[in-house]
Amino acid sequence: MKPRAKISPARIHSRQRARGFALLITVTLLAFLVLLLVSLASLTRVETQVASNNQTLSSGRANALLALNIALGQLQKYAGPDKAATARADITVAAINQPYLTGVWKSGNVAPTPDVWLVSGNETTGTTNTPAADISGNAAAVLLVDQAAGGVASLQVRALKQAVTTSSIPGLSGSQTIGHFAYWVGDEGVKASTSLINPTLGSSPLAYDNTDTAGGTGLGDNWTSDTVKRVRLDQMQLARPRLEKLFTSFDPDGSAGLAGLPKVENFSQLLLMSDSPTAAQLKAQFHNLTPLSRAVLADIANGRLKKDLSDITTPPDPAIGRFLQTRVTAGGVNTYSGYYNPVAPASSSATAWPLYSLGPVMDMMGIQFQFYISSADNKVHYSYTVSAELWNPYSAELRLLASQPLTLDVGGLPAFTVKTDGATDITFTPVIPTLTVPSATTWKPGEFKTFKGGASLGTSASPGATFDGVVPGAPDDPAATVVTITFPGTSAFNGVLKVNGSVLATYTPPNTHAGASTTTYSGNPATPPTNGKAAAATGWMLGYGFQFIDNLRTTTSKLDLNVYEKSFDPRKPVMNGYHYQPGSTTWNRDDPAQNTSTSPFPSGTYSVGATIVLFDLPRQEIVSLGMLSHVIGDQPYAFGNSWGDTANALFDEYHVSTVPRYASTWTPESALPLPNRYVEVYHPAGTASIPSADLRSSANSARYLLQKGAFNINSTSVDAWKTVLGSKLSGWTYTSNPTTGATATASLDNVFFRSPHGAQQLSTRPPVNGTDLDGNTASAGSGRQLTDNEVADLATRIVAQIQAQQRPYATLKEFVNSGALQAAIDATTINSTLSTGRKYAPGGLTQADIIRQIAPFMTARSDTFLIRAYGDTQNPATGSVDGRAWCEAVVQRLPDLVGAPSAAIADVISPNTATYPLGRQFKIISFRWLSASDI
Amino acid sequence: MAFRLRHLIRLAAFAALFPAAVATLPGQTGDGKAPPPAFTVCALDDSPLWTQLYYLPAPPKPPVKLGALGNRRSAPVKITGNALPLVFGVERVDPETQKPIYVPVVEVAWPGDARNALVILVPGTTQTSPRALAIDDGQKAFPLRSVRVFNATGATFLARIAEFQGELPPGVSPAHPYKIASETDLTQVGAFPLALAVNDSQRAPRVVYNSYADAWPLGRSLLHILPPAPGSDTLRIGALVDAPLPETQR
Repeated sequence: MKPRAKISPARIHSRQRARGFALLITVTLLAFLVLLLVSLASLTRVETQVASNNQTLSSGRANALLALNIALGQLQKYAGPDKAATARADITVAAINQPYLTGVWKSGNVAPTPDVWLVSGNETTGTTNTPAADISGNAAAVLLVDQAAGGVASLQVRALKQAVTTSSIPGLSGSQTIGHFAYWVGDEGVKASTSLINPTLGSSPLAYDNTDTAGGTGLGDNWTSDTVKRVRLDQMQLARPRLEKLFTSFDPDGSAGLAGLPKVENFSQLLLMSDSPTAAQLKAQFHNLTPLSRAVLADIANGRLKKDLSDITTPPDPAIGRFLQTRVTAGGVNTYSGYYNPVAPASSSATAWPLYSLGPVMDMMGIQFQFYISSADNKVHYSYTVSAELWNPYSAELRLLASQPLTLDVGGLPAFTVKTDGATDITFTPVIPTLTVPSATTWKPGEFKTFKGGASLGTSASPGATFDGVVPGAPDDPAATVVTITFPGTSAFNGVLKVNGSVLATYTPPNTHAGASTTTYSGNPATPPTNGKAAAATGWMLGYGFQFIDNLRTTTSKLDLNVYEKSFDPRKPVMNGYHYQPGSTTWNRDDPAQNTSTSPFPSGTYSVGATIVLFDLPRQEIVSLGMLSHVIGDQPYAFGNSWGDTANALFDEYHVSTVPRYASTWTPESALPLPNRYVEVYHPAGTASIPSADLRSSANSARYLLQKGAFNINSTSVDAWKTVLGSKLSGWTYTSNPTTGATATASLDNVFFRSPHGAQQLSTRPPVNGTDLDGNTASAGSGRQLTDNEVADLATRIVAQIQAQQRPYATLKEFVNSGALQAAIDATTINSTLSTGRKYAPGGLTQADIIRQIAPFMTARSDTFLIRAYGDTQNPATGSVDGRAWCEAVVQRLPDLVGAPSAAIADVISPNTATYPLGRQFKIISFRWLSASDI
Repeated sequence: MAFRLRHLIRLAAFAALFPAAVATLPGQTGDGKAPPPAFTVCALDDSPLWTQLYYLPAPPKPPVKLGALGNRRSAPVKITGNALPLVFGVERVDPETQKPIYVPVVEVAWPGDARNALVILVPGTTQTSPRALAIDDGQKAFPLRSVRVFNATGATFLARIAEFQGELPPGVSPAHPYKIASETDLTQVGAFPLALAVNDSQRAPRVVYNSYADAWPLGRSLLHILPPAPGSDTLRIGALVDAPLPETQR
């Protein structure tokens, strides 16, 4: 038997230590376990809270999205159809509690109350919540615009929360509020668009050849090589919105502006520009600026899309078609020089707008007679001379073609009775042969030229041969010493200008000399009458003549001062109205015996030495409907001014797409710009490619186009109006010396062109107050510049005029015919330094001048809106609001019809309101959630 | 020597007699007596007064009604006796006697030693107070194929009249000759330039009238420039043309 091993004491001690470690481990593990449990519990609690918060936020957001959808639905319901106008609430009353609410007035509503105010709470009746209510202290109101507009109280927008209720909460009976929503729809169309630049300065200017080389029509323009035409585009429309009028440090024409502005998606991004305005400046313009407003090219008056005037194959009238196809013939002292040849009207009896003819205007004509007994043959002779003053009212030269002579026929003379001592009376009516204006005659822009002669026509400096002949039937009467002439009045005296045998214009002043009584005059041959014979006539015995009223307003505006001072378009083919001087030192209406002046040509407004340029003609494709103000009508400048009346309906019915007709390089998908910078191609979803024929047809092109930078003329934003009043053109070149062709360069600011096509051929640049505005400067130039103060004053007055209406203008026609812009101009001092007669001359600003510039982008409604929506969730048990959310969406109205993305183009052009009661589709084009500080 | 002396005497006699002959020639008439001075009247601008106007010679000669004068010359009125200055008046009825009386409204001095005068009447500040001006109407002062200008505006113009270029002060200018269209065909009426400009201190000189006037081969022209009518800023420019008769026939 082995003996048992002996255990050492150290070993016994070690075993004792192991037993304590286990305990420690156990305790430690238990501690960790407790800690883990606590941590897990905390984590669970946090996660639960986060989940709870997310749930309330989601509920809030859900309610905000609910608000957005309701807002969109309201917008679609009321503003979806074409026949609706929109405006801000301060159009109804300038000082109103909620000026930034948007109202929609359906067609036919001419009350200050719209059909709907687009703000929460109006879902049922449309006008429950009105802008007149002061809700600033209302606990149910939430701010929807606050810090985004600088937190300024006057710029804040509030909306009343609407409850979201349910009756299915467990444990709670009845309807319980579980959240709220609110929304506000802001009108972006009444704001100025910030992202538009002057494309002629940008990186992608027009650079393609659109001349009609195949058809040889002479139409179409080569934008690549003809820089003059490209520059001229700046004269035909607003070159770009004038952001620098709001932010003086910012230069939209600088490199940073040209590169950066087109990328602006949110107007706060302007802060990222190198010479940006300050944040405070920018926030102050929240209600005045938008990145880009667009509009459907809709005919609001007729509830359809507009027709395209760029398709000259189907103009609204043949006269407009002829006007649009007129082109200058290049030639003269420099590249800006050009001329037109006279063209007779299609109808020589037409009087109403629109008309088309082209040629000099006869502002004065007369004939003077003398009778004497000739010492050569003892017979009574008569001598006469015809005087005529012909005026070129155009902004280009007029040149006669030798192959198409300009002639003058004098008619309507009365029958004279001629009697010598004791002889039998001879009655004869002078027949004046056709007189031909010297064939080499040219007129500079606005120039007057005088012509004179009897047997032939020469200039007044070198008259044609005086007519001298025997009175038909006069006997050889050696004993005669006295001749007695009876000359009655005539109301038929007239002159007819013809070009190549076709009537250019007939001038028949009413009651020319009807007041003249039969008068007997004896003598031979001069004054005072003396008896005897003479070798030739001396002086004139009598005369018949007429001249325009000596008041430039009669040919530049609608004027109806009295029976004689009535306005008229001097280019009409039938000139028989009361717009001739009833009596003057030159031509006396009542007494032919007074018309013996040795210088029959009148002084005054219409006379040699004056330069009066009133009318423009296309030198290239037009980009603005406003050019039609130069189409001949019964009144001058009818189109675009309040007296245009029915003609102004064309603003609603037509647009000018300038889609190239001949350039093969331009396609809808090419992204190449259009001459009309305020038009862009719209590619409908689901359309593989835009049909070229539709895009180029007058009827269908608006289906595929949008108005870019659209501006609602019902805008009550003074600052927005400031940005559209007048272009800035640096380094503008014009002909400073029309004789040598020397040119000069000027910087034009706040400029409006009356003659945008011919401006550079004129030697008088658009004047500005502070210089000599009146006289020839007012009538010889191509337009007018304003000072910044005048622009600011004008914008304020325009808004005042619009607010005086207390509702939006339902159509562009209504707006133009109202004369609101003219009334605003008249309320300023812009034209105060001009004499009365020249206030409507090119040196005076008129409504049509503004309309011409804004026509490419003006509209009477908005199609771009900003929706700000709010939602919260409320604990139905405690009543506490647990979550809030705000969102912002920009929605755009498009040509597409609601619910019918594939509708036939005919339906899209002219939708049936019964079939498509919601009109055209609003689409959300941008969306973002807002934090409380973003509001 | 005697031959020379005889010629010297003839020369001296001719030199002595020629001026006298020339000086009396215009005044001679068929019966060898110098014709009386005569004047014609023209009235510029419209005024109802013109039809009521009488020339009032020294009593006992009766007043001479001038008739309608608007923008033309009257028939010549001969002056006899001491009738200078010329007095013009209107007819009124004496409230006591109910007989016509003649009230002078304007008088004008005879122009120097002129034999023939032209009296120009223009409306005054009131309808009964015309202004009058008499100018030498003789062919020396106002010859054939010449133009004189009556500037009634009170302002000085810069003028171009036929060959003349210079200032045109208020009043009646001297005669400026003009060229005619044809020396061989007197029926042809030519033209001469007629342009006016004002030197405005506030603005650059500016042309206010720029045209041409008739150049009559057998006549002369008196142009008149009247201020603009009320409500107008246009100068009123007209002309009186006459074929002057030899002064012996007046």
